[in-house]
Amino acid sequence: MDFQILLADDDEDDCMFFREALEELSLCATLKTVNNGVELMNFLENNLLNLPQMLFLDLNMPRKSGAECLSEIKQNVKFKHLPVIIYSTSSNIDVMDQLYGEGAHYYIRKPADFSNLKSVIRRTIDLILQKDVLPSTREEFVIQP
Amino acid sequence: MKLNSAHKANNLSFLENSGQMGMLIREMDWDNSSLGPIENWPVSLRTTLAIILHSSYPMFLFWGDELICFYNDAYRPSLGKEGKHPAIGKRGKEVWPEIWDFIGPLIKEVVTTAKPVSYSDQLVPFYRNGRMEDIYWTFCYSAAFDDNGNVNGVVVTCTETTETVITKRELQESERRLRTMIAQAPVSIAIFQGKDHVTELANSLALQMWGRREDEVLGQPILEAMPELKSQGIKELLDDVYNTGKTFSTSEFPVQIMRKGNLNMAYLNFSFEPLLDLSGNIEGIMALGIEVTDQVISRKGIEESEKKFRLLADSLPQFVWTANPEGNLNYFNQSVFEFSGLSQDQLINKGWLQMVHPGDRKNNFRAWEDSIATGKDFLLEHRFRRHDGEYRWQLSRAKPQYNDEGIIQMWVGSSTDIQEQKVFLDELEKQVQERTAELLELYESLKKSEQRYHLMVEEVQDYAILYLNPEGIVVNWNTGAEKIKGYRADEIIGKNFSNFYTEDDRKSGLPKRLLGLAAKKGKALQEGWRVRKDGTLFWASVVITAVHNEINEVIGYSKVTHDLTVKKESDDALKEKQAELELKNIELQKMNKELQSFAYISSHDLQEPLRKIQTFASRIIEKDHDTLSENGKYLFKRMQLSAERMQSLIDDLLAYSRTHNLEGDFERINLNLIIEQVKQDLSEELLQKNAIIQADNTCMVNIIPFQFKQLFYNLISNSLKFAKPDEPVHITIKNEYVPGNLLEGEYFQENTKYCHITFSDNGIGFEQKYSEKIFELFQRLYGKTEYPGTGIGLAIIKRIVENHHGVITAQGELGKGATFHIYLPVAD
Repeated sequence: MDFQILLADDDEDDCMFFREALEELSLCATLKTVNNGVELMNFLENNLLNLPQMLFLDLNMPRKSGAECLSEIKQNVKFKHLPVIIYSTSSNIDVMDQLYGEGAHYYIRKPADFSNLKSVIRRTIDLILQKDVLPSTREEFVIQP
Repeated sequence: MKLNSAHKANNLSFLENSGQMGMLIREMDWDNSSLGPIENWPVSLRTTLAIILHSSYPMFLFWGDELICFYNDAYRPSLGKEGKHPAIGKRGKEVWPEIWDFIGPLIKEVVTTAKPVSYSDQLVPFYRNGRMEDIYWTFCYSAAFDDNGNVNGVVVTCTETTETVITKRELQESERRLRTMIAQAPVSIAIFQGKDHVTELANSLALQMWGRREDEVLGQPILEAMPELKSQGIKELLDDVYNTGKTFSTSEFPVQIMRKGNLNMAYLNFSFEPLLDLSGNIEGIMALGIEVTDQVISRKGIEESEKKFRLLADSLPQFVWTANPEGNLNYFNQSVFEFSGLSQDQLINKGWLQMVHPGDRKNNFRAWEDSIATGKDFLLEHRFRRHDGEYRWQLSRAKPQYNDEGIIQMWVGSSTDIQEQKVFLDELEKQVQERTAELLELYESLKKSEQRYHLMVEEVQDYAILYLNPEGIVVNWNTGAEKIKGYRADEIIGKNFSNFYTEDDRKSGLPKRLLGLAAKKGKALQEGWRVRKDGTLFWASVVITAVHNEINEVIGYSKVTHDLTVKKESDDALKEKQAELELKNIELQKMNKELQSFAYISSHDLQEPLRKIQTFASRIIEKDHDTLSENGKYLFKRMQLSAERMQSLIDDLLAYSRTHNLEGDFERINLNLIIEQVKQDLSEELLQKNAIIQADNTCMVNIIPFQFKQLFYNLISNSLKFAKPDEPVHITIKNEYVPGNLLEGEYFQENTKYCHITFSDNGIGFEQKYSEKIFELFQRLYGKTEYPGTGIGLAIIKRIVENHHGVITAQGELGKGATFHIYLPVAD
């Protein structure tokens, strides 16, 4: 089954790692990347009929932060059902709690080890595809490598 | 009936010798009247007229249907001079129009019933003598019959009684006046008639005197109406006057009279006078009287009291005497006679002076004359000569007695023997003088002590000590006051102490309030600005104390003022410094916070490139594993280890910087709950090291939960890290409450309770000399390869404990394990 993954991250390296990891995982997935919050929102508005199956969202982005984007997405009827996976370096518990409250599906802390990265992406995609849009519990929220 | 016919033949014989009215009838022309010529008059009319005209009693006749009038000579004067006369032959209604309303019906009644109608003293006013006159009549209307025996007229027999009526009325009026006079007379008046003395008249004063109502006495013999008089000689007196005609008069006659059911003694002034009738016979008695009971009783009272006074005076051992307003003595009691052996005659007027000691006489006489002249009380000590020649001291006093008009009526004096007292007094006086001398001495010493005290107060320089009267007026002023406030004593004594207050304080009534407070509570304390004489201000500490007299009334205030300007200034400076310090503190805190967020953000951002280095390294190792030389692979591994180490450094630094954050709220929580959470987080590692954590002796603590979680996480991780390789890890955690005074160390406060948490393990331990060093940041006791670590873990622990205002100490022995003691203060 083909599916589309959207990655919003301004860091080119991370985009590259994510793409390589996804390729090595050999999934029938196509990856679209946007590099900042404004671009992300524009992309969503322009692809209402063909929304991706999931969005990996970095928090620290120029112009519009990931947190702002999440809030906008969840408040918009048109794409509030889009599963959002936070993809960030931060490990701040308060921030995690807040994002969970805002309606993010999962939280991935960017791993330093590439094999870890692959396994995290794999597990997350599986979870989303299995559970579809059902939200996670707080315990399941953070996906460990 | 021969006689009648003879008269008839003679025709006019009935008018013969019938006076002027007869003449008038005869001369009148009757031919044209309703009666017709006299010759034709019926016998009945002739007969009636004959009777009337020959009567000397006034008579009048109304005859026939027209009631033609006739009257005789006796009647004529009643018609007056210019009146109705001559009315003979005229119709009744024409003659008496003004009274026809009255007599018309009378005539008609008589004609109809044939019964006579009579009146006496009836007022029938009619016109005569040129006017309407009130005329009184006694009259009778009787029927006159015609020849057939039918009533055909009315004969009026009448007498004018006007004069009699008027006389009678005047008599009545005069009697009424007399009775009124008697009734209103200011004396009791009564008249008794006959030998039985029947009461005919008694005025209200008489009734009042007798205690009787009018109906009880009028028409009654007075002695029947007042039986109590029978046995008191009144009957004899009345009888005597009635029989002899001699007036009896008496005054203050005592008589018992029944009044309102009580027999009262009354005193009367009265006279019985005989009343004579026209022929000079005694027909009754007039009694005139005045009751003088009150006067008699009051006079008797005075007499009685004077008698008592004399008895009393005579029974007194003191001398009692009286004098007239001129100062002449006129009475002495018995004691005077007995003492002096002199008689009344020898003593009266100025005779008493011979009793006075010659040495005292002049003085005595002058004092007495002075009292008489001024009306002032007389008071004198002097000696009187006893009958045996011995002189004894006397205290004499006399008071004037005034009448209602305030004029002296008499003097009443007394003299008391004070011989013994005088002797005793002399002795007493001597003693008093001695005692007075002693007191004076005592007083002098007291005065000296007070002076010393005053001097002391006055000389005190550092305190203004003043005395205020109850109104706050300065009464006393010391040197200190002058020094502090700048006024000299003479400038401020007599002025109100509010002068020392600032205008604002005066306006708000502070001085008065402080006095009120002192009066109420006994004392008032205050610190504030006060004003010196020169207008400058000083900071004063003031104590106002209320001073009470023996009945607990406030009689004044003592006021002690201390100039605290210097202290105030230093206090103010200190406060300013404190404020400055606080400000700096806040600034510092702010800077600290900034620094923390800087540390957090920078370490956060540091992670980013580090993570990428690691990822790139892992990509190279993975992808180009085969093309790398062995040495290259080794160096790559080293590089990765370095990067990992740097990552844990950054993680720990982040954790360390976060422990500054005090925003986490304190919670009361069981320590075990925290430990359980940590055990779960570290479950894998614990399993791996075969570790046992024994935490059964735990209880509730007041902590910031997430920080303590971190604390135990670090401690347990530490124990796992420094475990002996061949021995399962055994950790013991317990806590208990300990009072501060049982703990050693300067950082424990005696009055505070502490929660003491003990954490010990069986690891490799450490040397005791490092027990403090291990808590320092980046301090490590072992090489990185042996025991990896950043040297931040224990620093974080220390910081967390400090965040809880607690203390942590470490105890260790190499090879035997380590023990950490945490002490947290407990707020009640």
